[in-house]
Amino acid sequence: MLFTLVIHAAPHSLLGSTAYNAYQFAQCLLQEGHSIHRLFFYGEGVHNLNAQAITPQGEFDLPAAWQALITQYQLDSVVCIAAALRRGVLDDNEQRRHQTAQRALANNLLDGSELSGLGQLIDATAHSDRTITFA
Amino acid sequence: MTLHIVSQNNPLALKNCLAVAAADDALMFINDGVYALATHAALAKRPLIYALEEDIKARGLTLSQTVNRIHYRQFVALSCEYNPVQSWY
Repeated sequence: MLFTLVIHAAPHSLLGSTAYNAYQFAQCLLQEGHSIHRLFFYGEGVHNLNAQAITPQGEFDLPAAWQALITQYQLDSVVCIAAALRRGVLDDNEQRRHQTAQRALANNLLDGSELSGLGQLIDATAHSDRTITFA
Repeated sequence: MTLHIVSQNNPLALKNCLAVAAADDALMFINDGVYALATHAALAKRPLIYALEEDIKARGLTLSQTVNRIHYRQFVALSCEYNPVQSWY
């Protein structure tokens, strides 16, 4: 079965955050032989793909885990562009677009994901058997 | 039949969920949503209640026998069996 997962939660607190639930759900469904049409990171969920977030030693590194899963299964991973820009998650294009002489910006979207619009969420729900929201 | 996912300890979200859930719908409690199972005795009378075992354990809850404690494999299976899947927050 073809799934789309929508991730609304930031990864900061593992037990209080459904981002970790979403990750485990994604990993499990892939192991069960199902497929993921798209991961869509929305709102606070964009923090899951911030390359500049440093996870303390000894804690589960959720951004790194997402990136590994996306790479391993060649997943289509989309980060809401409006939510990402507000929270300082920028790709190469946006970093260059918004950087000025007075304001140095980082290109900090983890590799394997792209910034795009809500149209990608509509498209994903239309093409998937199930859309599961982790809020 | 719908699978309702309750993931927050939010009384209003739970109230809205129960207001529309049909008798043959399933309710899935994850993350902080599992606290509702410890505080809402009425939920124990409902059939088709599921909750993630690891999220119950992480919060040290003792729950009624009627709650089906499941793992991610069964959560995935439920989301295939039911359509649509609605999250409440």
